[in-house]
Amino acid sequence: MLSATKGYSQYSFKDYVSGNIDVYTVMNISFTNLAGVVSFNTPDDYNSGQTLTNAAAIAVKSNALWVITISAQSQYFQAMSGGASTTMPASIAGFRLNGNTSWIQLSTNSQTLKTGSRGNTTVSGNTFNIDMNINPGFSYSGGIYNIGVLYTISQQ
Amino acid sequence: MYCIIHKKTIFTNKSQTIKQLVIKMRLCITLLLSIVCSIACYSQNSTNNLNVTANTSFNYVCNSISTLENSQTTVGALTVAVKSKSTACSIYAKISSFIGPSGFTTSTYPIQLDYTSTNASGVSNLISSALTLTSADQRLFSQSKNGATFYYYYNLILTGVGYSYPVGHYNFTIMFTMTQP
Repeated sequence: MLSATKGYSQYSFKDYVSGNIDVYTVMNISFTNLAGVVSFNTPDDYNSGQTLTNAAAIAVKSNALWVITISAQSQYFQAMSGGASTTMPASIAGFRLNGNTSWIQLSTNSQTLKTGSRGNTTVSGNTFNIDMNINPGFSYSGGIYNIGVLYTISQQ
Repeated sequence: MYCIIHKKTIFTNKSQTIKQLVIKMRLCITLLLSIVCSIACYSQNSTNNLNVTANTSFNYVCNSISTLENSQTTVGALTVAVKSKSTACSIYAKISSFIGPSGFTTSTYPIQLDYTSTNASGVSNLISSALTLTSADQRLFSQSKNGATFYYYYNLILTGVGYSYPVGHYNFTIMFTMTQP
């Protein structure tokens, strides 16, 4: 009886608190342009175009499986100087992942550039470079041209 | 108590002795049961108790790079009130429940208790730095016996969940335990 009493007098008391965490889909793409302005100064630049290896670096952070698409913001390059053509199409520019062989010809339609997995920029595949090719040929006047290229990240 | 009663017992004859013995035995058992009962009630409700108060609701939102990567601190989140008159005591905490969306598995939890202050005396083994909670009890502090209620104040920290936690709703429960030797 005494032993039972002693055992019963060893107490523990408990109390609780609770909370909630809501995690939403978060994606971030950072783009670093490594190429700058591309100049066409020699006949060879027009004969075969210019390929800029590692033209840009892209880094992704995402807590969901992601896909990056690329598209032109306009059908034609914008003429930025007098005499420049207004009909030079976006398709004279091409992009590819560095290390790939096939090019994605730029258009106003979104085209898949790359897919990837959940993680920050240290996860394999979430940081990569792209190459750019511009091949206008001889059909367009000399001048300064500009076009907006849109990189869009979304959930797969 | 039992022995004292027997010392006072006086035997006059055999039948009276048996009758008195039965009565005294009943009294003895009743007294012992009363003692046990009074100890239990006294300890749980009056002089020894643990009360944890959430001073605000804990609803954390991770909807940006910053909130995924960095900690979110609820200042003055918890008050742990301890009264332990009978004996010294120790206070422990652990994650007793952590429920996430489908596909979520983890063995580590992004919840920390960060001690800020107390009005207590006789405190030992106090963890004064931010403590990452686990599914096992971890001692927060020990307190010597004292009839006063002492208060311990804590911040609650959600460490950055990073990019591995699936999107969805999570619910967690922290269990505090006061033990007396």
